[in-house]
Amino acid sequence: MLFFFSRSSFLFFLWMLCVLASSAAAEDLDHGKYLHTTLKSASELDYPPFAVVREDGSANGFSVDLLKAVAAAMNIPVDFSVGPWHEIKNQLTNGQIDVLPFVSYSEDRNRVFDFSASYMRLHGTIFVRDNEVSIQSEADLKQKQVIVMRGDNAHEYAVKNHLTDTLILTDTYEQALQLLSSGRHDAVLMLQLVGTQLLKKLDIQNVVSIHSFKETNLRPVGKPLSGYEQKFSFAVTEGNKELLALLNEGLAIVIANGQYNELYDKWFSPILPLPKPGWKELVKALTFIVMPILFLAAIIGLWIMKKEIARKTKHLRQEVQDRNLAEQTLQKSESKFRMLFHSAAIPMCFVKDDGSILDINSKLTQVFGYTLADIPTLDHWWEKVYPDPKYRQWVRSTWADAVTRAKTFHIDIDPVEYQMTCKNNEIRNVIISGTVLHDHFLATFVDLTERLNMEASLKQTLADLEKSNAALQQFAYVASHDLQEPLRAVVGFLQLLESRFTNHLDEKAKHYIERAVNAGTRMQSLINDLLRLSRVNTQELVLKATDLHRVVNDIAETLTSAFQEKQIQVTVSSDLPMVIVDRIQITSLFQNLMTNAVKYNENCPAVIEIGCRDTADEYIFHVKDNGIGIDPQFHERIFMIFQRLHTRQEYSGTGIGLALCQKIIDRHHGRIWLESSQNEGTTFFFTLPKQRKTK
Amino acid sequence: MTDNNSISPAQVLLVEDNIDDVELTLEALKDSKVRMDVHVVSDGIAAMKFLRRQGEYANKPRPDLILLDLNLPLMDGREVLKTVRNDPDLTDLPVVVLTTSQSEEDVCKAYKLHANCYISKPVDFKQFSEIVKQIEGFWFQLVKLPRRSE
Repeated sequence: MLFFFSRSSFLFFLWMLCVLASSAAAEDLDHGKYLHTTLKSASELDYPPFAVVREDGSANGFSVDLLKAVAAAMNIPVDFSVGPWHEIKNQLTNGQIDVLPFVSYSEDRNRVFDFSASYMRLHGTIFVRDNEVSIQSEADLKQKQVIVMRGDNAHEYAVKNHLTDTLILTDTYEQALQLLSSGRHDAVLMLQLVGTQLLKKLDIQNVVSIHSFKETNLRPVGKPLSGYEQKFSFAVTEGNKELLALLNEGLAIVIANGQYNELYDKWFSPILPLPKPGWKELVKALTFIVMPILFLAAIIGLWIMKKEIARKTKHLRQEVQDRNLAEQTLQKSESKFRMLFHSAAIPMCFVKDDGSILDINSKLTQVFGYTLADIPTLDHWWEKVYPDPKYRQWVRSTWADAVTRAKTFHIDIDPVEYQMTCKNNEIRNVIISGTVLHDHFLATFVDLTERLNMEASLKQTLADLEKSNAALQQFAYVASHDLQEPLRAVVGFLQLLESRFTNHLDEKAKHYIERAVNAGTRMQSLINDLLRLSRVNTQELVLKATDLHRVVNDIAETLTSAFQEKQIQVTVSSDLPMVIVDRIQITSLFQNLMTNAVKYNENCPAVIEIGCRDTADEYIFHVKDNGIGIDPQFHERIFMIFQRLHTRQEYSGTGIGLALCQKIIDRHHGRIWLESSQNEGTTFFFTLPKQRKTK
Repeated sequence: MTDNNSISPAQVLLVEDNIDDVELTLEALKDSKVRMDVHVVSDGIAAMKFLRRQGEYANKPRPDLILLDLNLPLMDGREVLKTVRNDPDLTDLPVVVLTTSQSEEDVCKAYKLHANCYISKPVDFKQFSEIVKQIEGFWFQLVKLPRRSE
């Protein structure tokens, strides 16, 4: 920001100078001479924004305004004419006018004019067409055609420094820039500010300053042309000290009262970028605007902060409460977990991925004997639980596989069976499985030892039972067989005695023998019935399709010969089915029921009716008689072994028959019951399922 | 057989370990119309030795009929029956199983082993005597038995 910087620092210096100069001049100079005469001045045609011409032909521009302001400050009227620069310059030299508002200082000119304190310092630059690349500095101008305004400082500068061999002169810079823009000649040497202003005014797009190539147009970055720095002042005719003093004093006033700045802003702000405030302005602004604002802001800020702190405090308090609650919940759930862990009925241990065993539950200690102190890490665990190195190796690799699989597929650890060595060196068969939790795993142990022991003992019990069952079967068989042999000997020899010695025996002896023989016979049938009952209990069923019609008819025939003294009428329904049963047992069943039907029957003829009906899943058979009937109170009791309702004198029997029937029906998955009352006959019912149930 | 009746008595081998039964059987046979020699052995091994005329039985005759109890010491009746049927020299010998057992299982097993008949001994001596008489009548008077080899 070259111009701005130049102005601010330069103005301060200038102001001091003016004050000193004017106070010095005030003593020996009478400035009253100009009090009532009008100052004659002139302005050039086109040097914006310093000197421009209004449409009505009157002078205008920064320098014109400044001179007017300075003159007004000193209470001197001023009048402007307008003309080309070289003409008005001559007018001043000749004394035709009093003052020129805008003259660049040079030593040559200083010999002709007297200069006021300079109020502006500007730098020169080289303007080229924007496609020009061969001109980077003033050294490049030698072979080029360079345009300057006739008599301008640039003209003097170019001649003095021999910048170029071909110097083109124009009357105005407007002409110069238009020539350059239209492609003629190579460069224009002039003040950068003036050139920029003119380009804007003429709307010339293809001409730029060499100092703006790299930056913006108005920000020359390169070093300004050395020596082509112009200080602008008011100029008066040589020797007119009196006017010079007045102008200097006026300048000081204008600068001091801010008018200079107003004018500067008026003429330069449209063409300059907004200046950065200087540190002074900053301090000022800071003091009068920013500070109160800051103060206010601080108060508001404090208030807001206070509120915010209160809000934050409340929020934090809530957060602390929440956290406490969460911690409590966590603690609760942790203690719940711990409780579950320790009260679990199966051994468990909690292991971190780094191999440290965090906890084991009491059941683990109880089953395997180890405490956490025995096995603080997995390494300890492997060593103690699997003392055989080869087996340990196998366990470690299979377990690692199981854990890896669980982690990969996000599943539980597959159960694997191992043989663990307890603290007391006992070996236990255990299924180990578990769950992976983040960087932990929970291993669970199912102790198979108890189960295996139980299985073994169950197997043993079963074998024992089978053995004892077989023994029982054998016993029943042997008992019946071997009991009968002596029985037959007793009965046989008694009868032999009776027949061989019949002449030696009296009636009483013969009666005793008869009683003994009868008892023996009864004992034989008792033995036979017991044997049958034991067989029904123990023997494997031989299931075959059996024609019940035939079974019943066969029995009916034997009945007739068994009860020759009785008249029997048997009716067998023709629709008795074929069923899959144990033929021998079912025969025994019908035999018992039909025999009972005749035995416990006083009617003549004894009528027996056998029939069947079927439901969806079973056959219901009945054996009906017209016998003595059974009191309902005994309906259940009669199926129990050795339960008899009559004396042997009334009806013979062992009390086993119906117990045997019940057993046979049980083994065939059926039911047996009866309908009867005293003297009204009896009907036994039993069922046989249509589908054999598999065991 | 009736033809040979006068010539030589029928030879019967009674295999029975119970001496009471032996005596009762012999008593029952006393009333027999047929002349017969009853040889008694009390176990299965002795029975086989008798049949094969081994050792002390070397001079014993080949029996015309065997009355075989099932439950015997050393070698039981079922084994004897099986061995007899598997021996080409003995396979045609008539065997009557005469036993205390009424077990359906025993009956079936006996017939499977080719017993000629199965008779359950009754407790009643009169009945037993009657049965023995019937056996005798059946086997030595009614049926024709294979000719004795000697």
